[in-house]
Amino acid sequence: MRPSKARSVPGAGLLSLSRRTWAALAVLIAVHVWAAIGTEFSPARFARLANSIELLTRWWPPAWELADRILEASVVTIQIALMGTTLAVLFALPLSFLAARNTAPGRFAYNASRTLLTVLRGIPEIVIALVLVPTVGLGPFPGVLALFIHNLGVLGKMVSELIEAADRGPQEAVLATGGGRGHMILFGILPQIVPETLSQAFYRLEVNVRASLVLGFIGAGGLGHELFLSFRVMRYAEVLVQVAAILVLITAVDYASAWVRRKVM
Amino acid sequence: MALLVVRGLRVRYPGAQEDALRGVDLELAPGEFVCVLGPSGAGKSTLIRCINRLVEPASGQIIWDGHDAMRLKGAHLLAYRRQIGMIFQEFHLVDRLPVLANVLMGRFGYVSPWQAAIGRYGPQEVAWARQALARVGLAGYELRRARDLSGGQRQRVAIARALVQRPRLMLGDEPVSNLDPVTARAIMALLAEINRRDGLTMLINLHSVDLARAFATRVIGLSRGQVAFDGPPSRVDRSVLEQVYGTAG
Repeated sequence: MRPSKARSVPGAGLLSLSRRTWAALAVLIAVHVWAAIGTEFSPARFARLANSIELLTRWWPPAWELADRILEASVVTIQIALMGTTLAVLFALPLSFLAARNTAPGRFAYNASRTLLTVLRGIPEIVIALVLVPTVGLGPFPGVLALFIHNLGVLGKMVSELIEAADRGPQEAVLATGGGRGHMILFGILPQIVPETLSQAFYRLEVNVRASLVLGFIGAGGLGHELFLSFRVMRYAEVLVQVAAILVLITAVDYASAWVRRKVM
Repeated sequence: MALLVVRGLRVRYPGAQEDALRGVDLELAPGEFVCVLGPSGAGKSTLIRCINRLVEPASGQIIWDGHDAMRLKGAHLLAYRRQIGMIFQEFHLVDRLPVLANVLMGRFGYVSPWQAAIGRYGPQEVAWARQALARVGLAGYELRRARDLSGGQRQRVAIARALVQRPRLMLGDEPVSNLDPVTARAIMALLAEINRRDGLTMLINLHSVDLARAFATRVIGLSRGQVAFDGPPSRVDRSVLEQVYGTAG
């Protein structure tokens, strides 16, 4: 039988937190209350839920007659996302070895490449695209470049962290054979980071499909452009088909990602 | 002449309060099979990693074949390391690659990274790799992925990888601690056979006193970073073990 008068013993449980941890939690909660006020967070407003439902009813029936055009736009969207993602992966791989503490050739290269990645990551795609339009013109190409540059920053950081976390064992084994830095990177590290890098690349592809929609708003073409046009003239029946197409694209990328991961892992 | 002479080796890891090695002296003659015993933290791993310069000692001497190995740098350091094979507790193979690619890693001292990446090796090197695999009992396993093998088989691949270096010394960092007792004994027997037939000098860290007694020609006991015993396995008795491992157990 369980002895009576059980009580919480300090250090015995999951929630046996120190006074400092409780204080940190209190601060965290306060910050979120502040953010809730700032964002006018208010469940009471759901009283007017009917308004949104009324809007949605105007979306029906879907404008299937536009399916051809939307299919064409979907192809452009996936092409933009694919080019942007693949370029980013190809350039991020070498760059991340400069930006990982254990493989950087020196402190300067490490700091410089880290800073570069942070800057690239910090600039929103849409700003990059807008800046590039005067040079390369409107259309999908500035969209590809914008996705490439932003994702280079994102993937460079992710991959450099994978490199830093790679198991030291195989690297040590390569050094012990008399191999150099190049051998160590190619055989001691690269095989370890390939599966997770691919996984991240597919996740970025999914993110980029959505990001290319926003780029479509500024003329990069694809589904985003179509969505923007239909929204502006309030043709919600078309929007419904476009949203359906987006869902199909995202789901397809997800399946492709799962399939490749199964093959590679 | 001694193959390897270690004198006054001291190591302190960054942030550590005490030296990991506190003045180790050691001489290895060609053809010896030396097992290093000692409790966890005694400095066994540090000692063998100093010998192939994976760990930089604070002070001391390492003399390889009559030459100072402490000051080697760059290409000379790599040339030094390729004469010394090493096997590990966790095998440290590239799990995703085929067995043959793993064995040919032993030739990294002789091929560029790009040649290695496209698998461009000389016919002689490939022949050595196949011979080494046959030697460790894995003929026909060339194209199997390393990760599909059992622990004992993986350690055999690692031994083959070290053999194609054509080394003059083999270091082992507890190479059988991750294996079941029967497999551990088989791996030790393989190392002993290689030692006898090729005259390859062995310096192997072990946890098991029994295996050291069974296979070593000489036992070194390390305790708190110092050599507490150095002699033939027949002299490893209760009092020696107490001296090396401490009475507290």
